[in-house]
Amino acid sequence: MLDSDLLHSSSLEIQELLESASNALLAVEDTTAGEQPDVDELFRALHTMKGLLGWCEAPALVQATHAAEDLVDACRAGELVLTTPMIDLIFETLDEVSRGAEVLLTGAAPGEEFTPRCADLTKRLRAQLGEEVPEVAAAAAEVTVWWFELLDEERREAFADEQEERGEPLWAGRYVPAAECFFSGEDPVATVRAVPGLCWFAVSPRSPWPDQEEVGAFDPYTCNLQFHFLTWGDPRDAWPGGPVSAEATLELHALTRDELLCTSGAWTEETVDRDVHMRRLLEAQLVVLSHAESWPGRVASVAVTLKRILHNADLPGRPEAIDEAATDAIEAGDGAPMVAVIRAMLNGRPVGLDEASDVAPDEAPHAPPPTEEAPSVIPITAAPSAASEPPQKLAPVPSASPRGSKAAPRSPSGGNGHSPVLKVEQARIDQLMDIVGELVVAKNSLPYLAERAEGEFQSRKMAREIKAQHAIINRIAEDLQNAVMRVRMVPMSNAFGRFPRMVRDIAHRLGKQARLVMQGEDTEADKNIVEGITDPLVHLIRNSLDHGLETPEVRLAAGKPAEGRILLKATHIDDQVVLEISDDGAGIDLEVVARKALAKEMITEAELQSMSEAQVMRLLFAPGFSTNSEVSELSGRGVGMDVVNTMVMRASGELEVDSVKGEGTTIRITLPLSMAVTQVLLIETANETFGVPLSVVRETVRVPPDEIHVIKHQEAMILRDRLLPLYRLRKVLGMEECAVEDDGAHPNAGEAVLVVEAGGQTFGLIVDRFHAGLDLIVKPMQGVMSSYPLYSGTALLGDGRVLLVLNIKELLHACHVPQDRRHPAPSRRAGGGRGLASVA
Amino acid sequence: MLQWLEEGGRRKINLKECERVHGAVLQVLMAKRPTISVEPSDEEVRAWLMPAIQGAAG
Repeated sequence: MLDSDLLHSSSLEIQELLESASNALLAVEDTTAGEQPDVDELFRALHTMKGLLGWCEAPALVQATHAAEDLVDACRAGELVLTTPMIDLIFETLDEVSRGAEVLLTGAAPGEEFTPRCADLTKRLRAQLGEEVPEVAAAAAEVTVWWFELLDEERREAFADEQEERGEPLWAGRYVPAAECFFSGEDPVATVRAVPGLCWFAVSPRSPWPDQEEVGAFDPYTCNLQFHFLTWGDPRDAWPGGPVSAEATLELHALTRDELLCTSGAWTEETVDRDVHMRRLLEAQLVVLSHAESWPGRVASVAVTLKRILHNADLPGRPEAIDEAATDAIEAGDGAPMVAVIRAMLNGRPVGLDEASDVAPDEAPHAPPPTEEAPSVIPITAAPSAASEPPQKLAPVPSASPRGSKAAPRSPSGGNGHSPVLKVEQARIDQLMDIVGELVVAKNSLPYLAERAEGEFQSRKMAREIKAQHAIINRIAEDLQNAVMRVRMVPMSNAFGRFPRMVRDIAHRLGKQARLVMQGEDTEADKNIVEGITDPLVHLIRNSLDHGLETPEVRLAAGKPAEGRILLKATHIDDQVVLEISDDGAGIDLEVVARKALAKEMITEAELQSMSEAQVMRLLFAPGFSTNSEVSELSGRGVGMDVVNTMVMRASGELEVDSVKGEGTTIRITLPLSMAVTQVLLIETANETFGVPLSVVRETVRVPPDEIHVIKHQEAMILRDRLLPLYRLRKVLGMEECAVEDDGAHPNAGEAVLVVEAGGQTFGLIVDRFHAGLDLIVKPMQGVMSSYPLYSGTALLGDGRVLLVLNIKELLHACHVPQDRRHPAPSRRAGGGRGLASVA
Repeated sequence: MLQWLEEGGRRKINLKECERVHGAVLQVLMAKRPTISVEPSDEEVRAWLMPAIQGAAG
């Protein structure tokens, strides 16, 4: 019934709340004993979450969240102190909600699959509160007496089958409302129909009705009704309208299959699902309205939902009346007009129309209306006059709320309130970035134009003017680019946010003690980079906890404090972000790594002999390598460091491992600040131009041929007393047969060697020629081309040519792999590069 | 409604448009068992309301 967009945005909001709740909970846990922890934040988050969940038709989750909220509330009131088991329970609840939020993200409402777990959680939470969820004491025999005679056998069989399918009990209940319930505003029929998971119910008199002929014997103001009902899940915790009052009776019994199929009855009935859903939703709106915080936004959201309900459930009334009520509510700062609308919808009265024109049959006895409800009805009856008014009046409703844009993305006038923060869809920023990219490329063509003006048209003056214009456009384009990039910058804390909780949970499960220390959370980087790095960080932290940190006993025996420490640090170094995950655990045993690699036949004994420590360490990144021989629940499911490495590389980062056995491991991830603009050095090999990211280039040198030595079939040179392995780019790219075009510029200057550093190794690449360095927007390879790891991407040059940018790390890898096992370089001779350029 | 029902002996009630019934109204209907000229068009409502009203007679 709810719009999937709406669910989606609610889900995002719930996820934000989950994070703040989780952080608040961790803070509570960290509070030293004896001090009163600050639970306000936690309470607020849970409370708002509960409202949103109700909104999203997730009754089971509402139930559990509500119980957690009550627990926190009791702590706030100083009635109890949150203990670790309680905190664990609240965390569990948050997890459940998080799962629900994921379902919501897909645009669906969390269904019945949440009911059993939530019911269990609720029960345990309530138990912590000392609130006994009343155990059903009624004996089965007694219970069966009253309920089964109301249902026919076929129906019961159907329920029994469904029960088996669902694997959860069907609850039979009897609800006897208080005799005075009409005076306290309760409509027992509405209450029962709003019971979550209700699948069947019947009404009967509690005591026999008085004689028909005896006028006055029947008191219409005293409730003489009782309800028998069947529901999926225990309805007590989500009893509509709050807990069952003391005067009322609620008996419940979880039915077994045998009980279900026991005797015969004589009733039929049809599902009441849809109505129940609608009512539940409407009542959830009342809950949402009861939130004092973020008023205008809430009201606007509620208005949107109400309009949907009105439309979808074909309720009588005008949608505009809802907007009007929302305006009134916001202006008055009082929810009464909205409450009135919801009550009208709940009562089946038309919204915003003269009630007299369409009297519902249950309208008649206005005699016992609950007193507090009376004033709230007034705005509705006043509404008809507005029916003919132009709809423009409605426009300011949602815009009055900064949150409106989020909770109600489709509201006619989006939220552009007084908030200084503007939430923009990422796609729009991406689009802006793309346009800036195109602008940069277009701008780069001006110097070529200037050259042509001078060369072809012999107009030096024109060329100068074009260059002058280029300088101006260049400056503006750069400013624009910087501005857009700044918009995309987000602090690392976005990625770090979930880690404290994760470390806590995993450490608990592993029986280890760990403390996560985070530094530099406000270090900023491009949003894509921060997002791309989150998953690898999760794996790395898990690894640290699982493989790195030892159990407290082992640690104490080794003379370390029992509590392990994981440091997560983000710093800016030049134009890069460096992330460090270090632990003071056992460190990596290189011998174990080597033995493992041998056992897995990833390397040969001979290869191992010639490997440096750093190279052995890099074996960790090889596919299928996992040092922990036990496949544990947390890490080591075959997704080891190789996956992490790939993920880091995808985020354009580099991964380094540094470990001292017995002292700990440090993993360093180096990331560019932004993926948007890359400085690229252009080089030429076999008459083709390639780009090399400037970040890996250490220097460029010319080496006379006689200074190149051959050691074991491997060319090498001495550069400042260091042996530098040399690779010929032609050979690596499989372009050896291409004739060298002698440009005559450096007849005897020697080989052009590009000294690059990648994966912790420095080596030389022999190329034909060096060209200029350029700022380019490098796009990742797409389609078929993405399977060539030798290239990290493409960029458009100013003259429209497509430049292939080399992935130096992969290139180095390819140098080590024999020719036949290597990915073939894409054939560029068949017009490859230039052909693409004409398309571009 | 109670008064109205008690005034005339054979009053009929049309429940065609009935989508929900307040408990108070329901018990008047159940207690007085007026003739229902048209049953609720809403299937769900009919399913539980009609047995309640008629069932009270039995």
